[in-house]
Amino acid sequence: MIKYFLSICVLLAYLFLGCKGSAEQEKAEVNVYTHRYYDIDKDLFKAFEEETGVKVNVKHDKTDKLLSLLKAEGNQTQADLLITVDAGRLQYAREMDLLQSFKSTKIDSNLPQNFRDKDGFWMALTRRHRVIAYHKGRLDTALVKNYSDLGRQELNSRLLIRSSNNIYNQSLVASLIANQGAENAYEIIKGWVANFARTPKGNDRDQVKSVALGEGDCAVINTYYIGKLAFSKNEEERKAISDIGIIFPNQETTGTHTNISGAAIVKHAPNYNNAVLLLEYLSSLKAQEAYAHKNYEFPVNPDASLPEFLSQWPKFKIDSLDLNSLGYYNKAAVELMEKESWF
Amino acid sequence: MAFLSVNNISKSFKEEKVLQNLSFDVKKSERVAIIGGSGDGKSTLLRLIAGFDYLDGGQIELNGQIISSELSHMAPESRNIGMVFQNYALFPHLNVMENICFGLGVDRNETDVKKYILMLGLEGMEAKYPHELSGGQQQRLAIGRSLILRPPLMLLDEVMSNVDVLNKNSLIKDISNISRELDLTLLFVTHDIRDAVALCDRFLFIEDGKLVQDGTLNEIRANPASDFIMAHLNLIFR
Amino acid sequence: MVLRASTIIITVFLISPFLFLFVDIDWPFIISIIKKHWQSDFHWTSLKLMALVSILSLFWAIIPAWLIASKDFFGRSILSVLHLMPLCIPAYILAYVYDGVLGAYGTLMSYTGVYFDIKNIWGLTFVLSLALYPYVFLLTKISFSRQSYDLINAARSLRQNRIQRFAKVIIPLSLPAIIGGLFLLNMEVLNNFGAVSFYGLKTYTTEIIRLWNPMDLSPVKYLGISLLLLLMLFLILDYIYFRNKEVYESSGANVGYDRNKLSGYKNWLAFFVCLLPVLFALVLPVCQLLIWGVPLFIEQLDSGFLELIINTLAVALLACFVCVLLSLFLSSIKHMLKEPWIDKFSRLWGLGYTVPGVLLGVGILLIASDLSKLLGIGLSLSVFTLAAAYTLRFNAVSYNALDSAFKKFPLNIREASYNLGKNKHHTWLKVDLPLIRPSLIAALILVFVEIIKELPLTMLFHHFNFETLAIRAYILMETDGAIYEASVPSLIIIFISFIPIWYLNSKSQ
Repeated sequence: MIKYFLSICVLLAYLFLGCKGSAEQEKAEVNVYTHRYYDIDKDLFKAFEEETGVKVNVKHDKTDKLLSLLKAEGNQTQADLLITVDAGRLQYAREMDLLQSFKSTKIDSNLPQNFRDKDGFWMALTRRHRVIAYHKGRLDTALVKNYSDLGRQELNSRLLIRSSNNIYNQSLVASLIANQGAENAYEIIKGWVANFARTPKGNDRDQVKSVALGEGDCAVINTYYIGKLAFSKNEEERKAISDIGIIFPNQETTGTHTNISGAAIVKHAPNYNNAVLLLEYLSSLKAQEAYAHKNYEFPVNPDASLPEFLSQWPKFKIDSLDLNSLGYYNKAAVELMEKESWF
Repeated sequence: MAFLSVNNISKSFKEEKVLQNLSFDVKKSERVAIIGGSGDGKSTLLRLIAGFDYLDGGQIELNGQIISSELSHMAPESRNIGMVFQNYALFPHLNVMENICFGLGVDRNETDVKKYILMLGLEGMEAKYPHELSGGQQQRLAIGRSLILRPPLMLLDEVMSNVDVLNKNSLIKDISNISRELDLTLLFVTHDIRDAVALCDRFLFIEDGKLVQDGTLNEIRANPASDFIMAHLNLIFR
Repeated sequence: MVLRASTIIITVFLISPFLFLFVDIDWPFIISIIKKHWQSDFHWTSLKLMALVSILSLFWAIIPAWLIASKDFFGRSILSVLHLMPLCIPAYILAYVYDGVLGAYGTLMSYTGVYFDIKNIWGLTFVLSLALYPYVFLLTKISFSRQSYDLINAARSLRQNRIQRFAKVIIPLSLPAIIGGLFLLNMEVLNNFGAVSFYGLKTYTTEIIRLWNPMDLSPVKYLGISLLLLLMLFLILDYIYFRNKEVYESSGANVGYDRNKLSGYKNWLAFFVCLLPVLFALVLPVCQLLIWGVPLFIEQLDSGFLELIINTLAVALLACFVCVLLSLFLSSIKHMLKEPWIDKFSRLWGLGYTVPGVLLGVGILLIASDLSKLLGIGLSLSVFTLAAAYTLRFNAVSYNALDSAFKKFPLNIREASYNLGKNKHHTWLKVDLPLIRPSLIAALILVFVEIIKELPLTMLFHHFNFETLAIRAYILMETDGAIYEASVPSLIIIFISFIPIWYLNSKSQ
């Protein structure tokens, strides 16, 4: 009995030591910590592997946990690249001294200034805009022009939005604070919370579905969810989206809230060169168009073409706020939302 | 007229015949010992009378009413028969007081309860749990919680087997006194005739599920029916 | 000496994540957060959820457990296995499946046009109780089937009817087992993140994730500390209530019921009562998963998927062997040396299982951060990191299984061996080990099944390209609501844990 026990243990141990040993010898690799887990990311990594021969290793988790993990790993880390779904968290990572700056003329030429950190600590992969989805039959679009209009009395218990846990909402509020000051931002939030149709739950996709089902008239969501629903495998979901229209808020003022999914190189990255190589690839025209066509995110490379679905939307003004300020104001934003007990 | 009438009963478990065509009558206030070796079916007999098991044939009457037969079976809880188990079967989650009052309703008579506790020598232990009592005390508690319901018929299953020699005599004396005082009918199952003679007036010997002899001590001594009975008698008359 | 020293080292290892929750705490800050969060509703929601899930789980578990332990009816033996099977289905999968069936644009809606919004505390109670009631069922059934039949007969001879017997004897006698089951169940309720956050509720675990600020983990520390205090309160209450009643295990003859055969309508009634929870917890969700998953099976079953399965199995096997070996060592030491200080230490060995996995993860991260600051050596992710994390968490499961087996050893059996001239080592090899063997296998299986489902620690500590089935299923559901794709890994998780549980059950009968 005990003999079997021990021999199996020893066998397993050798098995894994063997795996690990061989993995460490191979240097043609780049290790990625990512909060993104879309099929498109997998496809791009695969294409990158085929093009360069550099293997992409991936670990997925929420950014906050990945940052804690990086801190715990210290200089032992094997991670080269950190990919987040929010600009504010990149700022956090830099403040925690987890990143190193990088320089690449290719990236500089691929991306405009506002989608690169001015100190070279991160770059954007895609941009996302937080817009208002509404039911075409039930909402008068004249009512809602700005984010602040969602607090109007006419919309009482008609507003759907996900939880304040969500980083997209935190960054939206952070941008309101940055653009309009804490006091105005607080008034806006207060109006929203008063208009909630229900306790926030589910993701952006669920908010749109609930608008279609009549639980509310409008919802605050990221742009690409519309694309995902419109091309869903579920026929019911595709039908649901046909009644939904989109408002791009703050067109006459600061522009529609802009956030990015971004990437940065880890301070103790063992494979710096491969990491830069991957970043260059992800900012290239090919990768950028893939993001737009497969995942309905807006590309940050200005030359990338849009899929028909996105190009049919009107040209809209985007918020040109320095993306680092989403990180600076994150704490204030969370406190504001907590104060108004936004669930 | 018989108080308890056991009429031609049989019981088998799987293929094994445990009791075969057993019959006897017990009169009111009679104290009867049922003596046999282990596996002779004497405990099964008590369980049939108490109603825990179903019989295969024959019938049992109590006070003129059929309580068990092939066709009918009165639930044990409605038979009004007290039973004391070999291993006490005390409720381990209840203390002495709660065990004593287990069968009583909410309208119980407190002085009555106190009387029984005193009578069984359990005063001062009301808050203790069964595992904190000695073997003799546990047995007294088991007897007490049955007695307090004043059942006309009490079944005692090997109640002396776990009690040490020194406590045995006083326990037997107490049971004897109480049963006389309350005018109980007793059915006492044991493998040891020495326990039985102190308590009972009449003796039934069971061997292999069959009734071998029935009578007072003197009647049996005058004419023992088997070697087994002889051996038992030798224990007391030497 | 070596044995004692290693016992101390292992104990320190097992509680180190908790020690680090208390290391350099800024107490005034913690107190200010306590004040700030005291009115916060997540305390209340956690307690309310725990209470509701407990009640509904008792409803699913108690009557079937009693029927299966004490009666014989159509389908009894197969139902007794099926009641354990919901343990194979992670709660978050059940949560997503039920939303996919009943919720907006779900299966029900596509046929009838009706949908139910179950994303609230009631829906969550329903889902969690179905996923977790087997903990109560299992312990209660074992306890029922070990009850002394004499006690029930005694109650009958004391003129107690069926309901009185149930309320005054059967349930109170099994109370320690029921409470033990509820304790495990509530640990799992607190541990759950996937289902709770998907249904939009706030509990300790979701709050830990929400307040997780990588720059400053002290709010999380505060939550950890207040949770530990709450647990302590439960344990103290439990201790006070059961302190005088340690002799619950019945001794003597007539243990277990005769299991008389039910007939006629009673037979079918018992069958349906026992079938009901299985229907909701197992049959319905598995059918739905099959309907979603079968068309995708071929598409998904490529070499990557095979790797996924191998990864899952390999890490689970490695970790459960480590875990069981450690528990074997600890329980042997405890029962052979019989020294009081080891007895006191042994209460700490299960700590890792009593808190949410996320909190354990935080503790490990805190240790590693401090070590990397002090020594310059940080955490390094590998399969061993993961195995160590699993051991910290699930040591309690295997330890409890072995400890209770040691407690049931025949009296004086070791003394007999010593008396026959055998030393301690020999006795351990020839007496203890053979006697403990069935429990060793049981412990292995229990830990294995837990690890297959485990999420928070796996998410945190798995290394590159080392996904498990649980992670794949969770990520697919979480990021895109791609419940159809997620049904394939879910089904394989269920299938993989199905086999050992079936084996365990057939062995124990």
